[in-house]
Amino acid sequence: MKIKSGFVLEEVGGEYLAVAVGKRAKDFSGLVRMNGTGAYFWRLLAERDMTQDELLESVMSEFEGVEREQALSDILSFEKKLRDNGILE
Amino acid sequence: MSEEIKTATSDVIEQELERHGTYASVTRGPSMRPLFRTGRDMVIISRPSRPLRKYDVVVYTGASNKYTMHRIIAVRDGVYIIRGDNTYRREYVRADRIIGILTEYNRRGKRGTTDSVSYKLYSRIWHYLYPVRFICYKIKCVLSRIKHTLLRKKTKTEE
Repeated sequence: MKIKSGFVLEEVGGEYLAVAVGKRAKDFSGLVRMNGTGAYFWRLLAERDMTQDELLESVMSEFEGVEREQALSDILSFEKKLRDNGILE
Repeated sequence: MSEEIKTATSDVIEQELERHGTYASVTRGPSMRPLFRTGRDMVIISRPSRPLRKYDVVVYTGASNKYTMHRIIAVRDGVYIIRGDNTYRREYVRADRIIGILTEYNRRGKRGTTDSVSYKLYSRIWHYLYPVRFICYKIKCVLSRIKHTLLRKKTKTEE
């Protein structure tokens, strides 16, 4: 999975907000609001195409004390939301 | 996980500001040029945490659930006099119609805040240049009218 180009992500008071700009704004007019974990996923997926497993490995090595199952369920729900809203390529 | 995805309408903006204190959107329309261009820049709107004052860029609701983001150029008896950076018409807006204030932005891919010196300088210079901008605008209007009249005459002669 990979996030389409044309999104801008900004941190505001501990939260992360993403919107589409340029040509992308024509097909996505919404606002994505994320916490730090979501923004971590977002940044990785905006940069390159990753599988769920690669994303999971990356989360497990980045964050200490995270349960594998919890991380996977977070990734799955994140992916679903992005996919349902047409944010993934 | 707590990511949420919302689509923009003025109801959503108000709800988001109420619930989270912030809202973000891509800019639309030419009225805040040259600061923001349609589709290019991202603005972050916050619920006002202090009294609003001259030079603040605010989001307010108008007729039929539409919302606008323009700049306060004066405050008189509790009414805000507001104008877009690239418009030549004053709007008189009551405080209860203002729902948010511009606090941060991403312009041409660069993060900026309305607290920065460069932003404050831009706001003031652009405001003081208004008479000059107004004259240039009027001259442009007249020239374009002359051009249209000439073209119309030319077409008539050709006919």
